This record gives sequence, structure tokens and C-alpha cells, in this order.
Amino acid sequence: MNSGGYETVIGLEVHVHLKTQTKMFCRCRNLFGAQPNTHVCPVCTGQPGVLPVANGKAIEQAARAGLALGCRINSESVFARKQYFYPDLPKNYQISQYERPIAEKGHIMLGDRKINITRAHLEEDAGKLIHAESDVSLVDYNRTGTPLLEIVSEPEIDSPQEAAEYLKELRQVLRYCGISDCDMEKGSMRCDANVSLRKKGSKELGVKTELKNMNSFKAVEKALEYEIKRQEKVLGEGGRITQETRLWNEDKGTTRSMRSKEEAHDYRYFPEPDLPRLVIEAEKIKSIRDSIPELPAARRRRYIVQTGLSEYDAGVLTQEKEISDYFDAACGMLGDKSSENIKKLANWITVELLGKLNAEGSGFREDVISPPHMAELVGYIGAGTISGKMGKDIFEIMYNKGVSPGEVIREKGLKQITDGDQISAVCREVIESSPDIVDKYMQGKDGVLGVLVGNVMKKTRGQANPAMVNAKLRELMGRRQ
Amino acid sequence: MNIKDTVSKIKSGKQSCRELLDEYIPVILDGQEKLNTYITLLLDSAKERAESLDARIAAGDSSGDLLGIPVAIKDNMMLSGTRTTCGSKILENYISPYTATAVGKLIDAGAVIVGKTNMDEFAMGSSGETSFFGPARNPNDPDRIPGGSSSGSAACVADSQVMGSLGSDTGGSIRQPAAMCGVVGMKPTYGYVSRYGLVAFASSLDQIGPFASNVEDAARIFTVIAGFDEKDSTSIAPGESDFVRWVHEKGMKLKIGIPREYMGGGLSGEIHNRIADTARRLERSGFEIKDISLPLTKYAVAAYYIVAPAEASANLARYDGVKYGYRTPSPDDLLEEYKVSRQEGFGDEVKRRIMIGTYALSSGYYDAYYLKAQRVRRLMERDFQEAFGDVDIILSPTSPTTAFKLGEKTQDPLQMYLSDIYTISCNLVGLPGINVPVGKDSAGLPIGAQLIAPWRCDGKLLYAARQVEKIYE
Amino acid sequence: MDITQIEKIAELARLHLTEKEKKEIPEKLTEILEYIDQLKELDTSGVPAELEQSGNLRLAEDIVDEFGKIEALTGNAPDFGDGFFRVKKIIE
Repeated sequence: MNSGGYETVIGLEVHVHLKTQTKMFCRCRNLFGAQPNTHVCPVCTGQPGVLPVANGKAIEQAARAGLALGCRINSESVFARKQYFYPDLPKNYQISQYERPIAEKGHIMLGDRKINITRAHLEEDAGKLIHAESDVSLVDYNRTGTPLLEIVSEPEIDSPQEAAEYLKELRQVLRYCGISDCDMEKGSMRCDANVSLRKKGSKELGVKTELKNMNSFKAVEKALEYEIKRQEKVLGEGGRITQETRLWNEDKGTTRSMRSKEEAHDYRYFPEPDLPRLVIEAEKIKSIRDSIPELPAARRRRYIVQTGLSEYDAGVLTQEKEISDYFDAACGMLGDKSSENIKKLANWITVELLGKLNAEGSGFREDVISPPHMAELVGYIGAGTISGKMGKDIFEIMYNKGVSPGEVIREKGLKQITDGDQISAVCREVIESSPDIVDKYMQGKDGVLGVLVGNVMKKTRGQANPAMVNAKLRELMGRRQ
Repeated sequence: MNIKDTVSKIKSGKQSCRELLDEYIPVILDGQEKLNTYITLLLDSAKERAESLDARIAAGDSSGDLLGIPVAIKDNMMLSGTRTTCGSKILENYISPYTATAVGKLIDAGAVIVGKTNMDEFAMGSSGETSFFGPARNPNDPDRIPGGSSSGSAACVADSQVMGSLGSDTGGSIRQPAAMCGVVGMKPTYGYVSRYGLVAFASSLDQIGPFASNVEDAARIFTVIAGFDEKDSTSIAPGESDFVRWVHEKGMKLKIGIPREYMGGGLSGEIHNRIADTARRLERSGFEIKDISLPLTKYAVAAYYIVAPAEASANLARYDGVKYGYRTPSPDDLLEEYKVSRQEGFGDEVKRRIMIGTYALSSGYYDAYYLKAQRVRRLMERDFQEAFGDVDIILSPTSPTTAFKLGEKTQDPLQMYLSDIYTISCNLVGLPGINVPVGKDSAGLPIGAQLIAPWRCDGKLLYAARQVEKIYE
Repeated sequence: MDITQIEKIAELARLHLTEKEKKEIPEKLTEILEYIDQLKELDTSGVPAELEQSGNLRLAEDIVDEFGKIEALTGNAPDFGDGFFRVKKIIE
């Protein structure tokens, strides 16, 4: 984004909660939303004499995230103490990583734009503070010590929209790998944004401000937009930007300076003496790499290039791994894998199935209509066994009762005609009445067979067994040859 | 009578645990009054414990290498349900919510814990005088300090109030008071005894170890508390389960090195002569004695007074009056709550070290101080590796002086720091070291010899300690 | 070390300094720091900042093992109520 002769420079620091059973350095349950101070122990409440013991699963998750983001995994990394006093931090230092983080130098592709990732490091989360009405603040240590991965981008994002795209892509990748739920509203994904302006064409970075307290992608976008305008105004009036932390206020739609955090930070990092260096063997890295599923960007490319889906459909199908997996599974079960049929399948999933689930406010579920049933349904429609209109009625019943389309067809009296003589008779009729098409077929254009099949299906109101029709037509035309 | 014979007596039914404890209780009470050995006495629970052990024995279970043995633990170790003050006002009323691994092992072996011993506040001190609960005194002369920081743990063994105790050693805090009180005190290889439940002073230096009146008992207690602990990420498996056998080992030849840097200026003449005499006697017993050099010795105190305060400044950040511990009664705001609680809760020496440590880690100074000191540790490790390429064991004085008078050095922190000059290197390099009493000086004060073994050679260390002990029996 | 530095460090360490401490601490700290400064004589370039014997991190299995005795933790709190640890109000 650039206006008023300025370019925007944005860097994002994203924290995601790692999916694990237990906390980062103790074996308390890693759980969201429990009664306050119920999942706590001497270690995560920072009692005297306790020692941290690192969670192997969290480290694996962090490495997986790093690999999925194209990072180099450091074979040796180091935990460090980051020191600052705050009531939600029981030890008054946070075990984090500083000089040698677990992952470095990755990237995220937004179309053709590459946004580089500086580093991703593991740390423990702080507790939760509640600012009560009275003159006290309340502290809950349930979240204290839960595993976090901080992912830091280079300051290469050039607009609030791109920042939101980056976040969406990051979220998708992490969700695909089962690393985190990345739910900003629940706090399992948090984003701080550094933003500065500089004169167009200038190489030097301007003074930045750090934005906090955005609870959705939209909020990140809005906060950045507001802050850019604010900085433009300050600079436009010949003023200077103060390096500071600013808090986004969702209700007012403004950012304000956090004066209490003005004090210069001196975190006094040093290697955590209670934890030896973390060594990850090449073999372990390989096995983690092998556990990473095909990522959304690759799937989208595959859908567009190999399957001929539109960019839009590819996007919708890959928004969640479960949807994409569902599509892939159903696709594999299609009898006729013509591009037309696959597009039909994509449509039935994105429009009918997702439409229905969204309307119910439920997330994606594959159990309502199983992939084989969906493939079967699209098969009938593709083969002309049933019309699209009939398909929708059948879909409705399938959705409600969990039955297969074949069963619905039988029940509804849409029984297929499987009597060879009957089919043979109709096929003959169709062949007689379509000499042009038959000629084309005889000249080797196999594709026109579908038209003849369709005509037979029409004459039988979709009830003839398509496979039998197919075989019979071939047989009859073969005879005539 | 040593621990082994006492345990046999109990196992054979000649004496009950309760009877044994009752023999000790008057000594404990008397000692507590004269020497201020304990911060918290646990005599009621000790009696109950002894009785329940007796019931267990009556029921046919007389297992445990320390069955019925009265012991004390330094008040920086957690014992669930008991007060753990660490010698500080800031933890004056803190009740341990869990039990330290080493303490749990003592209990599992049948020991009866009689009290939690006095100590320098947060183990910061070499005389016991920084304790919020007043200094412990030296049984050899109550006007003198017992050494520190494990002042009470050394004094209670020297005063025969218990058969053994646990201390912690960050820069000599077991060996130095052992020397000054005239008992055996061992600092094991870093990682051999779990630190879980030991209130941290300097995490990369702290190590729990035993005090006892003889090497065999020390080896026995060490055998009980040593071992891999999954709760301590720096814990290492000792690879052997019986260290007592080393004490009874015979005929093993040793080449013993005496580092000349440990025998020079600042060392009292009497101690110098006694160590030299010890060396001569060892030579007569067939051991080879060699003059060696540890050139980096003079930097040890400097490196230590960066690393230890730096780690301590972080470890002690948690004492803020939020979750536990002292909170100033009426602060204006949160910042005040922190700052005043800590100002009022910590003593001068602790605050001094927090300041040094905070400074050494602060922006712009980290490389010159902390990083530099860590690199010096690596160089010192090479120094020792080289020395141990040539000798099996190092012999030196434990402390440059015998026990000094109470109040003598409290106004001069640097002089106090220098009293740990011979013991600090072991901690910086993670090596095992032990103090063995080698008689007394002309004033009747105990002199201690320190032995240092290569990394993970704690068994050999105990063997050597036994050889020194034999000389003065 | 001058008093401004001392005050900055005390602020970082969240230590209130009494007037007496402000007078005494600089001198004592300076003396100690001067002693420490002798490390500068040593050439440590290229020397690793950890002991050769330091091991590698062991990883724990991700299996829940809850502490359970919550009261043992909350019982030590200077101010605990309604399930929360309480502190003076934080103003952001």
C-alpha cells in the first residue's frame, strides 16, 4: 500500500499454541477454558526448587511447523531465559529461545509474492490476567507454561490486506499439519504487528510502532489501516513517529499508546542453565518432514493444473485439510474421472455440502455424506442416470439419513432398468434415430458415446442401468460395423 | 558407631528407631540452643516417623540402608508439608508443596529427618551469617562461624546431633563448612544428585551432597541420594549403584597432584604445613605425589562471581510476593508491591548479588561478563583435563583459613568471597570434591583437606578420601 | 558504577533501594566489579561458552500427570480468593 508518497513496511510476530496433551515444561494438561488455577503444579507456578522438563511432542510440533514453512531446522538449538517482571509470569522469566532458535529462514508464498520468515522459536506462554472492577488484578496460571511457537516474518509485508493474507496462509499451513488450531478468538493464535512508513523508493526503514491486542484477522487489517493513516498524518505534518507499543481498541477502531510499557526493555537473555542444548538428529528431522501432508498451496496447484478446477474452487476446497482430503477421497472413487465430472464433484462439495453445513453453523464434517456416497451420487448425475434436480432431492435425503444414493433411488422407485432386452430395445431406437452421431462414433470419436447414453437415459427417465446401456450401445454399433 | 553398624543394630532388633532417636533428641535440643543449628526442628514428625518405621520392622520389613538413622537437611530442600525458608525472611512462612528428589530418597531409605538446618540466606555466604534466623555457630568454638553456606548441616554433624545431613554446594558450601567444623563433606559430580526440590541459587553450579563424620557414612548417604532423575534435565546416571565399596577398596595405586596455585599466598601457614604433611604421609603409604599446576585458579573467584550472581538474579526473580512469600503490607501499586517486598524480604548479601547478576546480564555487558565467564569455565575445564591426564586425584587445602570469628568478615564481602577460592573451581567445572578432616590447628580448630577427582570419578574420590582419613585415625 | 547505573539496575531487578543502600552499594559493587574485571586478561576468543561435558536435552513424553494438590500451592499465597491469585491492579 502506498499513498502520500509513503510505502508501508509491516512485519508480523505470530504466536501459536501448539497442540499437545501437556504443557511445555511440566506435565499439567494443556487445556483451554478450565476453572482458574486447576491445571497447575509446582513447576508452572514457579515454586522454589522446581526444574523444567521439555515436552518432546511440543518440540516435534515446532520442528514440523518450521519444516512446513520451509525453514532450516537447527540441529542444535538453545533455550534461554527472557527476564521481565509481570504477575502472569510466575518465575518472572520466560523460557524462550534467543540466539539459536529451533527454526530459521523460511517463507510463505502469497501467489507469486514470497514473504520471508526470519525465525520460529519455542517458548512457554504466560498466565491470564483479569482486571477486576476493584483495585486488584486476578491471576490464573492454567495457561502458564503451555507451549507456544513464535513465528517472526521479515518486514516485507506491504499492506494490511497482505498481512491478512499472510496470516490466513500461515493459519492454513499450521492447521493442515495439526500443529495448532490457530483460533485468534480463543487466543490459540495471537499476532503483533510492527508497522512503519518510509519514503517511496527509500531503503531505510522508518520508526516502527508495535500493535497489539488484535483478536481476528479483520482486526489486524483494521488496526494496520488505522495505524498507517495515523503515521501518515504525523509524518505529513512534519512530526516524528515514536517507537512504542500501541494497543488496538476494537470498539473505538483506534490504537493508543501503552504508556506503562514505555520503559525500555532489557530482557537480559541468557542460556537456560536448567536445560541442556536441544539436539535434533537428521533422521528425526527426516521423519518429521515425512509426516507433513501435502500443503494447501500444492493442493491448490494440483487442483488447478491437473484437474482443471477454477482458482476459486481450488481455494474453497483447500481452506481446510479435511475438505481437501474429502474431495481427494471422493475423486478417487469416481468411476468416470473426466474433468467435467470432477468439476461436478467440486461443485457438489463446495455449493451443496459446504453450503448446508455452513447454514447449520457447523464446521466441516465428512460423516454426514461419506466420500463414496458423494462419488456415487456425482456418478449417477454424470452418467445421466439421474438429473441434477433429482440429485438435489436425493442429496437432501442422503444428508438427513446418511444413506447411499443407490438406496434412495431404489426407495423412490427410481429403480434402474436392468432388463437386457428392454435396454437393448431402447438402445436400438436411439441408434436408429441418431445416424450422425453413430457415424462419428464409427469414425473413432468415442466421446460421442456419452450423448447416446444420455439419450437412452432420457428415454428411460434416468432409470436404465448406465453401465449396461454403455455396453449394449457399443455392442450394437459394433455389430452394425 | 557408624551408620552401617547402627542400621544392623536396628535390623537385628537390638535397638528400635524410636530408642535411637531418643538418644539423639537431647543432643539436638542442646545443640540447637547453643549453636542455632536448625531453622525448623521436626522432632514430633521424627518421633512419629521412627515409630512407624518400628511398626514396619515389627511387621517384617526392615529394608533401607539408612533405616532409623537420624539425619538433617539443609533448609533449601523441599520436604512436603514442612517449612522451607532458605534462610530468608522472604520465605519465612513458606510451606513446601512437594518433596525434593534427594530428600525423598533419604526417606525411602528409612532415614528419620529431625530438622531443617540453618544456612546463609539462599546459600549466599561462606560463614552462615547471612541467615535471617541468626548465624549457626561452630561446635568447636561457638564464637566462631561454622562456615557456609551449609552452616547448620555441617555443625549438626560435628556436634553429633545427627549421623549425617544434606547440604548444597554452589562454590564450596558443603566442603568449606565441613572443613571448618571438622567433618566429611562431599560435593558430587554435577548431575549425580537431582536438584529437583533444591531451591536454586546458581543452577549450573548447585549440587546436593552429604555430610557425615566419616568417609564411609558419607559414601553411604551419597549412594542413597545419587541417581538419575527425570525431573532434572541436567541429571546424569552415575552408572554404579554402590559407592561404599570404594571406601573398602584396597591397594589401588593413585598418583596425587598438588596444584601449586592452591598452596601459595593467602593460605595460612599451619594449613599449608598440614597439607604438605598429609602429602608426605600419603607418599609413605605408597602413593605418588606430584607438583602440578592449574594456571587459571586465580580467575576462578572472578568467573564465579559473574556466573553465580547472574543465574541467581534470574532464579530469585520469582520471589515477588505474588504466589508465595513475603509481601509488603500496603504498597501503592504493583511496582511498589514488587520492589518493596523484595527490598524488605531479602538481606543485604542477596541483594548485592542480585545487583551484580542483573548488571552482568544487562544489555551491553552480557558479552564482557557472563559470556566471558562461561568461556573461562571451558578453559578451566581444559586445565583440569590436562592435570588429570597426569594425576588421578588432586589434593589441596579446602579453605585458606580455619574457622574465623563471627562478624570478622561481614563488612568485607570480597574477603568473604575469597575464602572459597579453593572450592569454587570444582563447581565451575562440575567436578566432584570432598573435604576430609586432617586434624586441628594450634587453636584447636579443624583443618580440612580437599580432594578433587575427574568428572564422574566420585568413586575414586571416595577411595582417596578414605586413604587420607586413615592417616589421621 | 555510579548511582544512576545502580538505580537502573535496581529497577530492572525490582529492588527498592533505601537511602542507606544507595550510599553503600555503589562502593561495594565497584570493588567487586573491579576484582571481576581481571577476567579481561584472559584471551577467550573462539572458546565455546559451555563445558565440554554438558549433555543434550532429554525430552519427556507428552503424557498428562497432574499435580492435584492445588491447595498446597494456593495455601502459600499472600492473597488468594475465588480461585485466583490477587495482586494490586495492573494499569496498562
